[in-house]
Amino acid sequence: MTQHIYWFSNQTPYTVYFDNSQSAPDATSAQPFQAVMTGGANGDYCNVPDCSGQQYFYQYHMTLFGVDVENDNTVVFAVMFWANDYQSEVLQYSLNGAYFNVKDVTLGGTINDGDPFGMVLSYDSDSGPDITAVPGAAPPQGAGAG
Amino acid sequence: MTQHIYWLSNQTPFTLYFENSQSSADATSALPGVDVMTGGADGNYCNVPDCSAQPYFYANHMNAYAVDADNNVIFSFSFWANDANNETLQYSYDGVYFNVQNLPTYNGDVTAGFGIVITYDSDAAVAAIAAYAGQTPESKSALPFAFGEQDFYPNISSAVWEQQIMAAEAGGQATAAFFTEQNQLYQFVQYVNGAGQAAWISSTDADGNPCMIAILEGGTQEDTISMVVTGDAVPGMFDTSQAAAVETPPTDPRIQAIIAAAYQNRPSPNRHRYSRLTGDQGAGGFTWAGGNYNTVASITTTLVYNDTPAWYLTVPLGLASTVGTYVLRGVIWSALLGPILRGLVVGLEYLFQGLVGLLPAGSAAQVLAAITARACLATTQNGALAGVTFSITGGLAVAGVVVLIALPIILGLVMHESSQTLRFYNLTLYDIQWTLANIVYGVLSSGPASSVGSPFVLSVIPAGQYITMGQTQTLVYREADFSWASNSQIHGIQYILALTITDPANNGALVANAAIAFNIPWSGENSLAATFSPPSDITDLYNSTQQGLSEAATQALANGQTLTLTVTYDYLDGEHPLPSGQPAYTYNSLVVLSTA
Repeated sequence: MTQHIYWFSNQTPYTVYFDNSQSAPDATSAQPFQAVMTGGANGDYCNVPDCSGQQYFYQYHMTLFGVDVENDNTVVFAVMFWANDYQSEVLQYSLNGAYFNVKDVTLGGTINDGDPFGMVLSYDSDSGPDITAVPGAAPPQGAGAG
Repeated sequence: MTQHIYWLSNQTPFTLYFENSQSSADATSALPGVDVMTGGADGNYCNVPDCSAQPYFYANHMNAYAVDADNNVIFSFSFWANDANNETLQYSYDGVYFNVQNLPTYNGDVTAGFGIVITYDSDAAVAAIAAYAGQTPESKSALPFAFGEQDFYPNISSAVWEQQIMAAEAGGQATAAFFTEQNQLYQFVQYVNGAGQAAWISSTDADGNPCMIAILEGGTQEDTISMVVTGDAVPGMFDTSQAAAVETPPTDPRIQAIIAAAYQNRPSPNRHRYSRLTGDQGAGGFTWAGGNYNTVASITTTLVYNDTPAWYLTVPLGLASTVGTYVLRGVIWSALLGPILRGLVVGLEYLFQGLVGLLPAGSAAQVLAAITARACLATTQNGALAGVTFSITGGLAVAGVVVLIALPIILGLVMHESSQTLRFYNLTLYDIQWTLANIVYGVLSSGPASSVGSPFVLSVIPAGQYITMGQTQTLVYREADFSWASNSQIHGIQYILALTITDPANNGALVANAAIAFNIPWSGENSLAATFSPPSDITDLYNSTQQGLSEAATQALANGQTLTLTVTYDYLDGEHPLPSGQPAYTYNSLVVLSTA
């Protein structure tokens, strides 16, 4: 099976870009405190790449990265995430472009393999970025979908 | 063609991991401060992946990321070779293809192999990456330093000069004595030019720190002029807990006295021969030739008359921010400073030679610009510290020196009937914009130039400013130097400068308007005027000039202070010796703006 991401909600003060190392047409972006659908090329959802080890990382992950457009387009943070196909497609993530200190994504509800979900991205200047996977095919009310 | 990476230098306090998205066998890591080879599976080098755009990025780049003791990824750099752009090395941050930049490269052509140096500024929490040509980590040792920019207004120490200038404001003999001392520079330049390298002594101060000295001994010990070139590390760069080699201080009491004089009235020294550098980021930086530099030290040239520090010029020494100051960790201070000072002295030698050889041609400002550029080029040099070589590019490190020593030499070359040297001291925290409001007779033969290569005269004498010397800030005033000459056999010199005084700390608000007039007639006594109430027809000020050695005007300010503008002559008439000793109708004047 494959995990399907339908949307993401940018709860940060930065412009956030969404990339898929497996599929360039999946790329999209969200303004600060806005949510966008991640329909990909065919407008429905994007397949989350499978990755079970460092050797697969670079070519098999998605990225949400925040850009400070008022500060020379500085990349403030980057969150990489994927589904671990050796661990029942559990969603995992790491920070800043490296497969290091890998953690499971916090779930905002039950997400079975293949269930629609979205990512809520937040940022704290002290602790850095954080992501939560929230079930549903569309952002919930108050998630900045607007 | 493919770029080949051979090594990685981790100049950060973190463990650095190196990976290749094309080849997991290339992975390696480096502990803090350690260099590693990146030989890959076959032990020679790694091929740098080609990437020309975002769609190729994820599968085609290398990654170097830093991890702290808590396993946090602090930063990461991605880099690759752009195969659509001549294999140019490029990089981005945090594992994303965004805000892509060309990788700074040093030490020549990287196509025969290179390494990566990664540094980290812990104060600013900023990492930097650079490529160094060469197949071993030793290649990175060509550290790129530069001197900071110095304009054509010499710095003068408030502590040293303020009282002497105030005393010279009386005019007459007081002004004459002031200039006599400064004009000894003419003899000093002649001496250094004659002696060449032999004029400079490589010595140490009482603590064993390197310095360079040139001494012109007069007939008596009270007739000595010296130039001392020294350095101070900026705050945070020293680790006094780490001992380094001991050097023997000079035993000659005369040299000891001169060096002590050079340090007189300077703040607590931030230099010590026993110390190694921490490599921590110091405060401040500057831009030179389009590159950013972190200031690591200040280099000071001091002119010492007898045992009195008469004037000094301080310029910052910076290390390219793409390298980062961490690379200096553990370097012995004296090993860094010595070669730098020797390089600066080479620049000074060219400068002195240029003054004598080039002055007769072209306008004074053009000549000053030309010889300064030449001296700056000469300053570019290679040094060495404990097996590490480095290069220094010029900056305008010696520009202020040019103006200071040029004035008496220009005067010596004047072939006109009469001439005037004018030193304008701005002893305030206000900017002074000057304009030549009127000139009846004579020409402006030299003034402060705007920059190297520019013949244009600067029109703003900057406000006093606090600069970093050693551990503390010190107030430095600015001096603008001019020379005027008659341009006919039957007329003297007569002109008016209009002054606009503004407050840079208050958005350039107007503080006062003023004007000064000098009249040095072909026959008769000199006259002068200073006013804070310039007439609407500025030439009316000639009607207010007084035949006297000194005139002063005052203006009450809103902040309760009083602004004083003083003008002087040393003599009212007759012939007097030029710096060369030749008699001429030459006069010296001070203009001083001060607050009390």
